[in-house]
Amino acid sequence: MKYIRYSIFFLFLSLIILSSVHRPTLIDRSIGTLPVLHEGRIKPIDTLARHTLLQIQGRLRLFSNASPVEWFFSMMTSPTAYKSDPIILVEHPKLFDSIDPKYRKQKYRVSEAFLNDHFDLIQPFVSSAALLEKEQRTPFQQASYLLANRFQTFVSLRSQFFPFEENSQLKFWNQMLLLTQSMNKNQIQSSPDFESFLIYYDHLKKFPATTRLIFDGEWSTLAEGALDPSQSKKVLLSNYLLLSDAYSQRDLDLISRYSTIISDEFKAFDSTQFNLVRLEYIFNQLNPFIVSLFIYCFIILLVFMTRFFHLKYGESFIRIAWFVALGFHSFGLIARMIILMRPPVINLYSSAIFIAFVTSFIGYMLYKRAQHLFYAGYISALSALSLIAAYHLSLSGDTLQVMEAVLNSNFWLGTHVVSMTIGYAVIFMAGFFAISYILIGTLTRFLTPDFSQQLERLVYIFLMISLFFNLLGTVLGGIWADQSWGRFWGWDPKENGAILIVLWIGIILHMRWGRILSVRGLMLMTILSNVVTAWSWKGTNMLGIGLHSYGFTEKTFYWLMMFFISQVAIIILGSLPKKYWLSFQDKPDAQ
Amino acid sequence: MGNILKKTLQFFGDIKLTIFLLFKLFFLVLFATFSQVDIGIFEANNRYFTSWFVTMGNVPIYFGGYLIGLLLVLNLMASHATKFRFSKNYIGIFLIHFGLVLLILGSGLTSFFGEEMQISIKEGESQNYLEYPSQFEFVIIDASSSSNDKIFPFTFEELKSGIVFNGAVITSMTHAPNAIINQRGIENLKYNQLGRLFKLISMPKTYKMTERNIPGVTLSINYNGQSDYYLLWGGSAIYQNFKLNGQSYLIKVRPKRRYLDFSIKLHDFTRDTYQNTEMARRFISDVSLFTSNGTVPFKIQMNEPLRYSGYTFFQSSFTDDEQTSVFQVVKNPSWFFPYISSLIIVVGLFVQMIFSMRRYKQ
Repeated sequence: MKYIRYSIFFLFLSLIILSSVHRPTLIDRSIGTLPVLHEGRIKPIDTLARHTLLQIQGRLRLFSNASPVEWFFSMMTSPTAYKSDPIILVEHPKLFDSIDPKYRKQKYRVSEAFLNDHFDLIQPFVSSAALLEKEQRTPFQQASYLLANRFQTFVSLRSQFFPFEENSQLKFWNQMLLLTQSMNKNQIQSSPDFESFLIYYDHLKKFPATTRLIFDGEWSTLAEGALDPSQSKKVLLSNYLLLSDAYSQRDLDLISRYSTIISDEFKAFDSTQFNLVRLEYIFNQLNPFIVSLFIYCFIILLVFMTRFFHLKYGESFIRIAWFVALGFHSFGLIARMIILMRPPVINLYSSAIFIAFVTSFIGYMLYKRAQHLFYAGYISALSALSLIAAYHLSLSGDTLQVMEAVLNSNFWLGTHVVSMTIGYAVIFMAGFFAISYILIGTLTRFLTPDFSQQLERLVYIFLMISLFFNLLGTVLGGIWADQSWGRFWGWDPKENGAILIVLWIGIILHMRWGRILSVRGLMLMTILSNVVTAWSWKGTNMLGIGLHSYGFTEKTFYWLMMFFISQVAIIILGSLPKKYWLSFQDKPDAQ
Repeated sequence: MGNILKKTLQFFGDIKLTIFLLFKLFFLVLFATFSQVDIGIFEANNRYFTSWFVTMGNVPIYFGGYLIGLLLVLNLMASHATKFRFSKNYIGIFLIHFGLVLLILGSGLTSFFGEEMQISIKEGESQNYLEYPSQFEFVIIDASSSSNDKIFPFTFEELKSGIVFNGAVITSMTHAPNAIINQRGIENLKYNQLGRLFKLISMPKTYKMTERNIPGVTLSINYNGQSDYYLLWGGSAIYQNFKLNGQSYLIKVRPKRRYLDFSIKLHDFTRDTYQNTEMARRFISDVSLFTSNGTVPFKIQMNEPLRYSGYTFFQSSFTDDEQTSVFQVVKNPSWFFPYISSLIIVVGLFVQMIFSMRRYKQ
């Protein structure tokens, strides 16, 4: 019986993992692993394809069920692919509702062909929006501006190769070469293709290509490689053209052969980069943060099953699942660190991922010691929430960015930023355990004196740990600021945010030591610390001033407000007199 | 007597006072952060942190940063004076608080004695003075000597009440803390030189971090019953001149300067970008210091400032043609305070965490 139960559990676990891991086709594998230089970083085409598609479409799944890599490569090599598929995201109901009332929707997608016909409608708003700062634009202007950006990105993909003829890129380029040779023989006027050649040549010259595929010494675009008089990139160029031809005929053997040739050359050119690109490709396919998100949700389910339906071996299932989730989670973090050669936290997205990890790790340790089901469920929920927040942050583009000059210091990123983030994670844990005290106490009968004491102790320890990391991080940040800007402390909004957290924890702890805070008071004050922390984590960036002002989005603002309101609601609930608390209404039983 | 002292100490050392002051500080920081949006970081600092009281008009409405800092230091010292003891559980707390006292004292000292200046140097050139970017002054320069110019700087306040210079009285008629100049269209013959063609337009003071207040003045020079009028504007590069007893002097409104006893030369400024992008990876200024003790070469980079003779040079900015590098220069005699106090605080925190965790486990 035991084996059957374990087998069923492992079956479920594998299904969950398999459902979110990508299983690439041969085409995906061959083309997706090719290197490309984009936004200052060498990455696999797979990454670029995903981020471009996400930026244009707002999601990864296509109607035709093609993979991002297939979509991307088709776009690059064919002048007609996906021309009439609704892919370009529109996010305002009034942009096109004059054409048809069916466009009066907050969110829908249109095709390139549609925009070719109707883009004139919004052109004036795009031009006016371009003159304004982001904060000054109306939502309508911002929506049209974003749409124009997406449209531009979409169209510019088409010019990354030589998409002048439908069938063969290689044939086209050979014709061009023949023409140039005929020109050398002073037969310019006599050539019947001279006119069309000039047009193509002109086009190639001012190519808006941004995808740098050819890596011989200096990275260049296909067009630059083609127009290079030294012809040193000729081999690579022809391999890419052959690959493109094989792709348009969907000849799997040839696709894999030419991409292998290109890959091998890249390996010989720079084997470290080659391995990093491979690692990033595996990272993309394993999708570790989404996998761990689903496992955290699975753990919550297991906790409920164990607590209320007395699932046998539930505790041990939870431990195994949690261990696997931590495995994926830490693989993701480590892979990111290796790919970028950076500490784990470099932007808001990675801070959310890291907070989820710290929470989960501490929670796992706690659970192993205390074997308390509540900890498992609650902390899994917190990690999952943090990962969901990270997922939403990841929609804005490549999260593996190169760093601005002033942040270009692994030592300070590794010490100041990491300890600040740990501080944020632990204070959030304190805050959320305080919330659990209020919710369980008011809405259920489970808050026994024993449990209440455990929660109190936990919150107190978390407050101490968080004070340590926040103060340490703030002080380290001051030293970094002194090293790079010449002042230890400048009352920049982000610095103010950090000091607010430290002050707030200081206030709570001193009130506790001064014995003027009851258990409930401690909990309520700690819930307020969530508000303070959220404010200084995200809110301060929104003020748009100072040296730390980055990453403002209206959506973040909305969610931040919702979060503040929810916290205040819980505090009001917790301020109810104790006689209204379910747990205190009658004498709690011994359990 | 001893009783009163004890009572006073107890009052100032009360943990309730600590909590009260921490709340005060918390809301001070919060309000200051919000008002930074309107009045900028610099002005908010003056109003909230480097002041004894936050005032509305002239009425104090809230404790300022200095007052809270002072009271917190008193509170801490009184508290430890009444409760000091040698024990394992106490040492961490004592270290944390001792570090905090040092930190507060250090930041007080910095705000009194610290100075922020700027220097911008073209490639191949050297310079021996620093500028205060937000403070302007009026200067009279005697350039008659071939070796050294004689410079007479004056503040705008001095100018307002009238300066007596070699028998002439120089007085400002108008002073605009932030101004622009614009062409008059018709010449105004009352003024000499710049003022003939241009007029001064007073602007509201700006508090944005990206903008500067550039002052302008109109002034009269009275000598032997005769008056000459000049218009001077901080943004203009022109030195205007006037004659006194047959000798010629240059006058100008320019950022306040501090002359150094060494000079700094910029050899080369480079801006590295990530491959095929416009995104900067690093900025490097290759400089040499010329001092009386010899020449020192140095590469100033982000996070790698040059420290010399109490001054610290930080890479701060550059011109668009990448020919001129701009450095932030800080003179802060108490710069080491935060380092020492940070170290003490971190050690204290660590000790405290270890002991209290151990206590909790038991």
